[in-house]
Amino acid sequence: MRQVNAVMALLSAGALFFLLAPIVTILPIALSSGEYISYPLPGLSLRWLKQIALNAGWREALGNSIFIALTSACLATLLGTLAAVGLVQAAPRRARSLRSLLMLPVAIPSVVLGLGLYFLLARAGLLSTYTGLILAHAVISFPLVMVVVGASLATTDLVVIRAAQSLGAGWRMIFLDVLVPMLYPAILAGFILAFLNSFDEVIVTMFIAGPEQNTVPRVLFANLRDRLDPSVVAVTVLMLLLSAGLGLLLQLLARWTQRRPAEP
Amino acid sequence: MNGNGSPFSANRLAAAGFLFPAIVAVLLMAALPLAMVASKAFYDTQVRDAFPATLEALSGWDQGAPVPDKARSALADDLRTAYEAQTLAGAASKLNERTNGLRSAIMATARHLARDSEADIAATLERSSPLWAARETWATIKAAGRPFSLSNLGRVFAPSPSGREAGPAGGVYGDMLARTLTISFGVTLLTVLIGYPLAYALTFAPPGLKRPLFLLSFIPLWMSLLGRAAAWVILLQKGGVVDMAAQALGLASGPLELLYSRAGVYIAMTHVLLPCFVYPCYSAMANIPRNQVTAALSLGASGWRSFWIVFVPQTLGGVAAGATLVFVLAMGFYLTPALVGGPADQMLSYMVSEITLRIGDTAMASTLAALLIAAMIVGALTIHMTVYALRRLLLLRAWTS
Repeated sequence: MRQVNAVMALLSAGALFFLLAPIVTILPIALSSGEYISYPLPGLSLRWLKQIALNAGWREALGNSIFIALTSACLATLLGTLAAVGLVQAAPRRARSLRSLLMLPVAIPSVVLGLGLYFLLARAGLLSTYTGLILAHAVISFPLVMVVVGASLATTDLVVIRAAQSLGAGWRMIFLDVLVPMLYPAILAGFILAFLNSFDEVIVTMFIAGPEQNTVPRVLFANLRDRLDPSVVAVTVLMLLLSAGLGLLLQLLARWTQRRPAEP
Repeated sequence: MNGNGSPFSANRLAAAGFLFPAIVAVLLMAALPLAMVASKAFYDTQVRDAFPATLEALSGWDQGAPVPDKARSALADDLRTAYEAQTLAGAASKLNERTNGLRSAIMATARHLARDSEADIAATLERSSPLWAARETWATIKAAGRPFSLSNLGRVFAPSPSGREAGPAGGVYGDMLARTLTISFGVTLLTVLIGYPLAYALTFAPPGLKRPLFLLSFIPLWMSLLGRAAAWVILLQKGGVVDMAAQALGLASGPLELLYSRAGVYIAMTHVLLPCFVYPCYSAMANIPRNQVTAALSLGASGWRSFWIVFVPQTLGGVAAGATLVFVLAMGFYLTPALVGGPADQMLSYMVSEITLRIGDTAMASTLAALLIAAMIVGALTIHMTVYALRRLLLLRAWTS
């Protein structure tokens, strides 16, 4: 077995290198002082970061992205948390089929959903509107919240619900005063996931957004197809760092949830 | 699942209340759009909407009889209306798929009619195109007026383009479907080959190493999808990091053309999808009792033999789950091939968005979308069955040798 383990260790080192080297390699290019994207770096500078910070197009896109991501993530968190609580209350068999139904938005390819939403929002007169975009992003993101909050609920002793009921609490009170305080690390994690999902979404957005609703991924996508300059690299790196940073935060939240004692 | 709260009917009612907003959201914003795509794919009202009066006038007519005059004047009315409403071009393209040249005939006639509102209709039709004299043309309009059709599906598999005006040739779509399947299966195979050892290492890593290994393996999973695709564009370009490294190591003699190539698509897609395989595979491995392999060893099996006949067959459930997930995701991939691939490496998703947003043929886009989902399901079932066949084969060898 030692031979097997040695071969596997070698192969997995290769796999890990393949997984991480590209990401690590790209990070320093954002700080390049040169005109072109190449190694070795001629020197380090903040010029490209400064350039995107001052560029009106990027700033407008960033504003749109943050606005859409925040509002859609709020909506998704509400929908997802309610749905997760509903699923643990439902009869197990019905919960299973309902869960598959609710996972539909993440199960179908983005392009197909984008096309369908394009038809629907055109019919509803919501094409090229923020309302349409926010609703669409919320629907794509809420299953993520549902999964995260659902996982946390699965390790929670639901007897607290009955205890609250026996003390005369209504469902509104149980949700707001019992469940939300117990689940808030998971709810926060779900919110972050929904935010990231919306912040990274480009395919559905492309179908339903108007020309004035540029988001960061949309501008980045267009730039990557047309011209590559270090400012594109800088935006890419910032997007990678933002998602990695928030991802690490998620890990911390998860560990925090595990260490918390079972009682609220 | 904790069933403590469920036996009360009041809780069931509450469950319905909690689930209600999400169910409404999914039905309205995911199921309904999906149904709209499906109906557009096989139910096309473009011709019916553009020629209502003509179809009405032709309702009692059959091809054996001469074309009634009222149909001609109805056609003139329809052409004027649709021309003004700018809905004519789409319907004309649809009709052109059935009769070559009909698109330009329709558009020319509509222009003539729009220019001169008092013109004699029969004369204008005769002047605009000889097609109006043929009964087949009128039969075509009548047939195309029926909204339910498989004609789009026919176009996907049609071997050759039906003329200059036909837009993207039928064969293009068929090729694209084949290419989408090839790339997805290829990427799935690559992630299995690269991901299996990584999952193995995660399972058997010494305790101190396990957490950092886990973190490193899954950081890419939550990193921006577009960011990762963008990273590959930057790395793969000519003179880029991969090119330079390959030349420095003597792996390539000249500059490598990896960006806008099929190889680039395989590399980037495998990189993006690798963690999606590793996780389910790791979960399956972690559930295997360690002492089984030890038992096999103590009974005299060699390391490799106990690996293949005791360990591997039990992990195949996880392999199937991971491979199916990767395949399904790969089939729908859009960003990575669009950015890293050349024109000959684009997949179905790309075509769906191109012909919706650039050409505006939403019916064809819907047909391709429906086809994509069908191919996805068939492919996923194939992978599932292949992996289980493999497991039976491995176990059979274990018993018979």
